[in-house]
Amino acid sequence: MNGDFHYYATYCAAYLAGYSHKECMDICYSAQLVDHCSRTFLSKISGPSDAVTTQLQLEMADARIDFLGLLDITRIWSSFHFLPYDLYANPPKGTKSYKNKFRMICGPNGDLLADTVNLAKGKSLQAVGIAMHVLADTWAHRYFAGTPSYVINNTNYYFYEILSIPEGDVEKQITFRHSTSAPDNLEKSIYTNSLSQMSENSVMNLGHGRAGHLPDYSFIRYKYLPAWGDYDVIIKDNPSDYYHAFAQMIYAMKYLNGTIDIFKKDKYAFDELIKYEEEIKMILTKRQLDSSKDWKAFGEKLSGEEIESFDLGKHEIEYSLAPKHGKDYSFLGKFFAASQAHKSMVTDRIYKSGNSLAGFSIEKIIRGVIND
Amino acid sequence: MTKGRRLINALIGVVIIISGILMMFYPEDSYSIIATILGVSLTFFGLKTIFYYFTMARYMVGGKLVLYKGVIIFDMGFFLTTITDISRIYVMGYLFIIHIFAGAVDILKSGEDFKFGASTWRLTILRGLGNVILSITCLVNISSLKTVTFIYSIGLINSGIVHVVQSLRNTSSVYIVEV
Repeated sequence: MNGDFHYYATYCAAYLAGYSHKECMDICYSAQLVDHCSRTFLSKISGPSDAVTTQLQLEMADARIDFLGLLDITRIWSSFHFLPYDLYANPPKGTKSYKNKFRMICGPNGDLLADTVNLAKGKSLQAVGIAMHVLADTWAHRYFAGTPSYVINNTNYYFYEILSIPEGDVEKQITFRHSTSAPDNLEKSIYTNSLSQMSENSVMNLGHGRAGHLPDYSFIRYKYLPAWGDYDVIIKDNPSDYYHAFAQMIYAMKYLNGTIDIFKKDKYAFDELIKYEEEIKMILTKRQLDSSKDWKAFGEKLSGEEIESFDLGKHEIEYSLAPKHGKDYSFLGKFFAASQAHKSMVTDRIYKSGNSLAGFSIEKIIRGVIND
Repeated sequence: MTKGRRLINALIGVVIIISGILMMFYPEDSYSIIATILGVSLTFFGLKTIFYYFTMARYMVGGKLVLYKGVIIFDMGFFLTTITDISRIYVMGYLFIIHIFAGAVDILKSGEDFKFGASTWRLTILRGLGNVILSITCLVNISSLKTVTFIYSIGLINSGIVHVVQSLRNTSSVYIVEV
C-alpha cells in the first residue's frame, strides 16, 4: 500500500471510527511514518536505531545478507509490512527450513493481527497508527513473506492482469521490467519488479518485490503462480481486499477508542460504510497510480477539516530540542516506543513458534509504554 | 551469537587478515593460490546450490532450474580447478566487476544519505570512491600479476576486519521483549 491508503484512507477510517480531526491526523501520520522511519532518518535525528520500521531502496542494496543482516531484515519487514498469517502452518511437504519460511507468509486475520491490535489498546495514538499500517498491509501484501526467500516470494512469467470491460473480464499478460526510475505504465500493463535472483536470501526476493508494486495498487486484479503454491493459480482482487482492509480498520479503531469491548478477527464495520460504499469503491477501482487526491477529498468531506500533506520533518524539531529524559514524551518518542514494542511482540511470537528467522527473544521488564 | 561463535568468527577474521598481508608480500606464489581459491569456491557453490535444491527449491514452482544451475556451476568449478593456468584477465575482470558494483551502490547511497541530512554520507562516499579506485586500478593494470594479488589482498583484509568487528560488536540476534 502507498501513502494514499496509509495516510489519507487511514484518516477517513479513523474519523468514521469516532476519532476527532486532530486525533485522526496523529493516527494517519503515524501510519504513514512506518514507511519512512528508516535508519537513515533515525541517524539524522539521532533516534534509537532499534525503532526502525522500514529500509530504503539503497539501504537494501547495501544491506548485509549474512545471518545477522537477515534477522534484521526479517524483523523489520515481517513486523511492519508482512505480518505472518500462521506461525504454525503445516505445508504438506518440505524440510524444517522450508516450513519456517512458509510460515512467514503474510495474510489477513491471523492470530498475530489480533495481538497487534490488542497491543495498541490503551496506548498512544502513534501505536494506533502503527497497528493500522500493519493491519492494512496484511490485506495488500497477502501471499508474500517479509523475509528474503526465493522459494516463497518468487514469481514467473505467468502473470495476468484481469480487466473489466462491458463484455466481461479479459486477461492481459503483464510485462515486467527492472527500471526503478520509470513509472508503471497502466495503459500497456508494463510494471517494474525486482530482478530475478536464484539465491534464497537475495534482497530481490524480499516481500512482493518480484510482483512489483501490483499489491500496492487498489484498482488492480491479477492472477499469478506463487512460488509456494504448488502450481495453483492465485487471483488477487485488490479492490475487494482494500475495501475489507478499510472496513476492518474502522472496526479495529472502534475497539481501540473504546466504542466496542472486544476485538475479533474477521469482523468488519460494513454497516458504517453503507452510506459511503459507492464512493469508496469508486476510489478503489479508479485506474490510477496514486489515489491520494480522491481519498483526501473524501476525508475532508467527512470531517469538514483540511487534511495537510504528509511532511516527514513535521515533528523532527520537537524531538531534537526535547531534553534527553523528555524525548519519550514527544510525538516521535511515542512513535519509537510503539514501534519497538510492536517489533518485540512479533519477534517474540516468531521465536516462540520455534522459528529463528527473526532471531532470539529474551523477555525483560523495561518500562511502561507511555499513554497518550 | 554465542561466545564460542564469536571467538571462531574473530579467529577466522585474524587468519584472513594475515593471509591478505602475506599475499601482498609474495605475489608470485599467491596468484596460483587465488586462482585455485576461485575454482574451489565455484565448486563448493555448485554443491551448495544442489543441496539447496534438495532441501528447499524442489518444493517451489520452477525449482528444477536451481538443480540445473547447481550441476552446471559444480561442473564449471571442478573443470577450473583442474586448469593450473587461468588467464589473469579473467581474474582481473572478476575483481573489477565486484569493486565497481560495490562502489556504485555506495556512491548512490551516500547521495541518499546526504539528501536525508544523515551524517553517514561522508563515510559511505569514501568507501564508494575507494571501491571505484580499486576497480579502475584493475582496468589500468589488467595484465599485472602484482595488481591482481594486491587488490585481492585488500579485499581479504577488509573481509577479515569485518569478521573481527562483527564478533566484537553487540549482537542483534537476541531481541529484548518488553513485558
